[in-house]
Amino acid sequence: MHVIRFTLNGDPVEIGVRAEETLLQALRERIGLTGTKQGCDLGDCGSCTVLMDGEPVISCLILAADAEGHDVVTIEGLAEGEELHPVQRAFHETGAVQCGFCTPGMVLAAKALLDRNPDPTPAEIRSALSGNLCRCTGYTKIVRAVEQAAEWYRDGACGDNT
Amino acid sequence: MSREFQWIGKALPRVDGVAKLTGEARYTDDLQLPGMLVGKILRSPHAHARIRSIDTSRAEALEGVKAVATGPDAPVQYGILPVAEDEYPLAIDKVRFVGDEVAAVAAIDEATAVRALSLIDVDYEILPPIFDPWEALTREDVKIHEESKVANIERKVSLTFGDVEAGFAAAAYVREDTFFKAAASHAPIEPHSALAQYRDKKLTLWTATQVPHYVHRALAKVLRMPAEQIRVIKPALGGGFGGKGEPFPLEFAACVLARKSGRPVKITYTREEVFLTHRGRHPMHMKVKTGVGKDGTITALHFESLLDGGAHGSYGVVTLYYSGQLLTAPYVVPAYQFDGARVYTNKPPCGAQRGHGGVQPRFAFEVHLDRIATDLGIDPVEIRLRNAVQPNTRTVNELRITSCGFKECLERSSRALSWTERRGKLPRGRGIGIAGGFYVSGAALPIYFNPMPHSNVRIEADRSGRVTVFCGASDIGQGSDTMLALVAAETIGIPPELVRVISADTDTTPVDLGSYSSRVTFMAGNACRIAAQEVRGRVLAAVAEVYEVPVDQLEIRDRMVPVPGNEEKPLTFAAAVALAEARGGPVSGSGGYTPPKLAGSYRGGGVGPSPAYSFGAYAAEVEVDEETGEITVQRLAAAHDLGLALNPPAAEGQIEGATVMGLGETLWEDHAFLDRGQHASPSLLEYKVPTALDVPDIEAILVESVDPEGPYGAKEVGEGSLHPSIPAVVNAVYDAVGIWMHEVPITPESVLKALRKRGRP
Amino acid sequence: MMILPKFHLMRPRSLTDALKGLAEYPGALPVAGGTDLLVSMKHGLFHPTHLVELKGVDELKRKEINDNGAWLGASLRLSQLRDDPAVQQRYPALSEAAGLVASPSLQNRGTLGGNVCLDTRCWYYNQSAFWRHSRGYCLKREGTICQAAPGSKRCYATFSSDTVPALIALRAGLKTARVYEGALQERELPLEDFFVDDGIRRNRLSPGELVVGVGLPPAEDVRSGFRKYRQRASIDYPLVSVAVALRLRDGRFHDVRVVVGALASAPILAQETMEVLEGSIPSPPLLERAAELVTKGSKPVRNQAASPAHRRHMARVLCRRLLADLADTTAARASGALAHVSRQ
Repeated sequence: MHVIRFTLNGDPVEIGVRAEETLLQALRERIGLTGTKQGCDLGDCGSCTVLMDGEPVISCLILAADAEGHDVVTIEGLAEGEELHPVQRAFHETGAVQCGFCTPGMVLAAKALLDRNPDPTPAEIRSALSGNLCRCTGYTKIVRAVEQAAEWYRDGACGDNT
Repeated sequence: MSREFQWIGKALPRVDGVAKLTGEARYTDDLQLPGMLVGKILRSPHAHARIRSIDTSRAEALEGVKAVATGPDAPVQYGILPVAEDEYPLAIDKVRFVGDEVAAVAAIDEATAVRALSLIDVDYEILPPIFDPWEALTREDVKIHEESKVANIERKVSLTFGDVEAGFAAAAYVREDTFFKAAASHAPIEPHSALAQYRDKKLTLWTATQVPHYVHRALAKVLRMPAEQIRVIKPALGGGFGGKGEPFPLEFAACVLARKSGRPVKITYTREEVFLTHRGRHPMHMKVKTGVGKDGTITALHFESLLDGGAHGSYGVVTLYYSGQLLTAPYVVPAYQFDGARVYTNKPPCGAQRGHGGVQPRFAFEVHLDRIATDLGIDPVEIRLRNAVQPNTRTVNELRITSCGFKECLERSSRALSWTERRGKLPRGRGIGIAGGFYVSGAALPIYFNPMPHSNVRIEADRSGRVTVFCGASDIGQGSDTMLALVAAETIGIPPELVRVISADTDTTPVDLGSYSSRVTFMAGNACRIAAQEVRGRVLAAVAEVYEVPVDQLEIRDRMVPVPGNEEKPLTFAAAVALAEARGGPVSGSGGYTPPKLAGSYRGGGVGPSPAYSFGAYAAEVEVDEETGEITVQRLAAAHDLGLALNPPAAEGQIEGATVMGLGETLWEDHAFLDRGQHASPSLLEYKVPTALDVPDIEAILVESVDPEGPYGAKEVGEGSLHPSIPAVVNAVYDAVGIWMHEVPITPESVLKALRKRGRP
Repeated sequence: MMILPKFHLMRPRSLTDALKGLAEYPGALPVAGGTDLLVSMKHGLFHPTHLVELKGVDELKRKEINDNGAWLGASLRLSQLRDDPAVQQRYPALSEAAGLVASPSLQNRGTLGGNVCLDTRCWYYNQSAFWRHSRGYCLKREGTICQAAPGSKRCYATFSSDTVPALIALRAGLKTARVYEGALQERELPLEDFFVDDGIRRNRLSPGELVVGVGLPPAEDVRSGFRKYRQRASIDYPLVSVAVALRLRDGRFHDVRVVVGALASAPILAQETMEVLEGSIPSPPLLERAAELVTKGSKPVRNQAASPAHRRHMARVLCRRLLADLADTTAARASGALAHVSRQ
């Protein structure tokens, strides 16, 4: 067992993990944050995407021990209480969610993009999300949602939620 | 039309959207129970073999292994179709494809379970495999299923309607083409998962299924348990597309292992196992022969199909019938002959995939029709308009067409791409194409014969003013829970946020047959409307009685029940419910939907009839790189007649998703096997589901023909919306570079080959 | 779920400790991003006793880029190469290649060293333990025959790194190190000499030896680019790739380097193409002739989705289009098609 310390959704965490345990396993099975999904286990689908130090990474191909010292954000860490993150809100209002299985990874990848570039072109959005497979939406509404969220980003407000 | 509605026709965010966006939604694999074991399935490495013996003793002796199961633990055959119950949960005597399920273990963790599988000794007698459907059609010395009377044919169908011979004789022009559509697989992002718990003689199965009711029935049959002791729950579900539309070995195995071990058992498939489970699009060889008059009017059609079914029946007999039955619209076909066969091969079984049965023939026919139009010098839109089926007619094979917006679909999608100005006039390498389609809004006949409703809904209103909808319908991502909330809210007259939906739990929700055949909005929607009307009626009746006003002067609006003459003391909906409850007990309503009797008067006439049909016409614009053979879809305008859009963004989402799935099948997806039966692409790396960079924005156009029998006029939108996408692209490729592609997926290599054959200008 | 086999995890804080760890345990493997190795381990292709995790080794993260050239440490992430303005400006082939590896999220973890040492690929090899058991094993792992080229005595698994062709075109030198009999050994060699056209051996790394980093010569006046052909515009490995670096002086090509990836078990330095171009004046016929030569001698086998003939064809197309781009002339380009092939 390796004892590791890292920041998870803003809180310090200290857990013991097996050497061969992936970050995805640790999040889902050890910590119980099942919002991070497992779709292929081989890095091909992107549904296990989490943010590590603000960047989207594929948690099924990261050793849990590798989280040591990092800042990890999962889908559970995005909303502030009742207030959805602008990307979440945009996905919700635009109809960018269907089965929802790719959604956590997709939202996190989109958030990382907008944090870096709040004014992306549709091509940049598609590129940033190109490691996250969605089988339901055909991506059209997802791109719309990210554009909508980008607008809110640029307005500097999450918008009122009324 | 939608302006008279309070909620329908406006954008309603999904009722489960926030839960899915925050990670709170629980999918089957997210569930944990105390003492839960991990289940794993041992699969056949051979494509075709007899099992001489299985020795599980070494696996059972391994520390941490709590149960091992093999075929004899559940020796009962099942299958989604009563006419094709040819599967065992775990193989008995024979394995029929690489990946066929042989044994299962439950252990304290994944590593132990994997190790235990390697300790199961199976003695196989290798049999010659058959992979080619043409070989399966004639080869007698190898029988994949002993029951096959002729070679390895599961079913042959011949149907004739009208005077086909006379039709061809009357034709001014007859054309014949052959086509091939490769297999595709659903590839939902969530792998199959099932969690079983057996306690106090009651079995509970949480499972990622589109059809809780059929799973419930199958479990009772196979496990030899009374149905009342079994509960099937569908948690949040991560996409189905038909791939979770029948009972599967992991569901039985989890139950058997839970029963044996006394502990909860969860089995989640790996991605490779999802591909081996398959039940996807049949590879289909097709021959189309059509006679037309000088003006392109169809006089007769003869269609032949050969379906490569894989190792089991699955939905295949229905697929076979659909392949023929769904060609008699959206164009008027006065005389029609269909000859088809489905054969067994030693590959994972094919079954139902989005657009079931109609996708391959639609590709073939729409390209064939474009070739006829080209031969005769008729514009492709024009030939479709000339032959377009009219509302309130019957097709030659007795399908009842009611609402039909096909012409409007043609007009709007072609106009979106400026058809008249641009067809045939774009620079070389660029082209536009069009194709039509239609599809069922649920099947008029149930899968197993019974006289009961296809969908049932119960609604309860309580004194808090909340309304709860109970329905067996399975939300697989398409949004049926949201649809139920919307229909209930609109019908009762309350905002959707007052409605909760409890669905897909066989202990608490009345039966709905499941999410397949694009049936849920039409059938569960109608059932929901009936139930909601009853609730509304009871509430208003109570108010009318108490306030002594005629009930027809009452309405429910904005959480209030305005009573004429009582304006100073407004009555809330909650208070109105309380009045009703005080007078007659719990305020509930129930509704069932049974389709009208629509079956054709001939053998096989049960497959194809539907209470309503959707129609569609898609226009695609492509760019073809003549040097690399690569095709880029630049634009796709998808006009779909869905009767009425209950929730427009949700409807658009169905069209957009289905269209992109179609583009995947057109350009990349090929569910193929290597020469000894190994899956050629058992991963999301090798099986090419399109990424966001591979497809354009889809321009969904909602055409509303307002169906007389649909809930508020709605029809299907989730499956028919795949049909025109493939041929629209193929036809656009012709406009771009002058080649006809008769096989999909269209690989760059096949484009280059066709270009070479055509010769460069 | 596909689980990783058990192993001991070592997390050294210095290069010396990392090398000592690798030297001490013959069954140890280094891991940096893990994006390739962990997949293969889940497939049962590797069963290391120890994984030496390199994240804590700061020496491997050094990045220096200036007028004298560049030093790129092996642990630099591909996204750092993709996004670094200095790399983009001086070594565009490298930044383009890094940005075309797999998908963006994997570029955030995958490293330069990992991509340089990327295992060769084949559809008979990169499969689960179940699949390979079913098919029968192959030369590269556990078997005695080549499934892709039955009868072959060698393994034809495909060289699939995207950054390496770019780096070789840019005349990269490789630095490696190991601890041997207690002593630190370092060596430097031109990157093209590191690879072996053998799908099994694939490079000249000795047991316990680690890629430390890559050095690049000054990039003054060098034009470079990378093109990759794959089925989808993301996620996929290359079916073929081409990297070119050259100078254009007095209207002529100079110092031309053309490298083809994914057509053999090693990157191919396309000598004949380079010779034809060197000192020549760019013209459509020249580029055509040069591109025709780029596949000379390569004999890929059918071990992935596209046919060998098509992969060779695409190498020629990519080569010609890339040369045309770098020559700053549109004469030899097919209209509008380039963006599609190289789209990110």
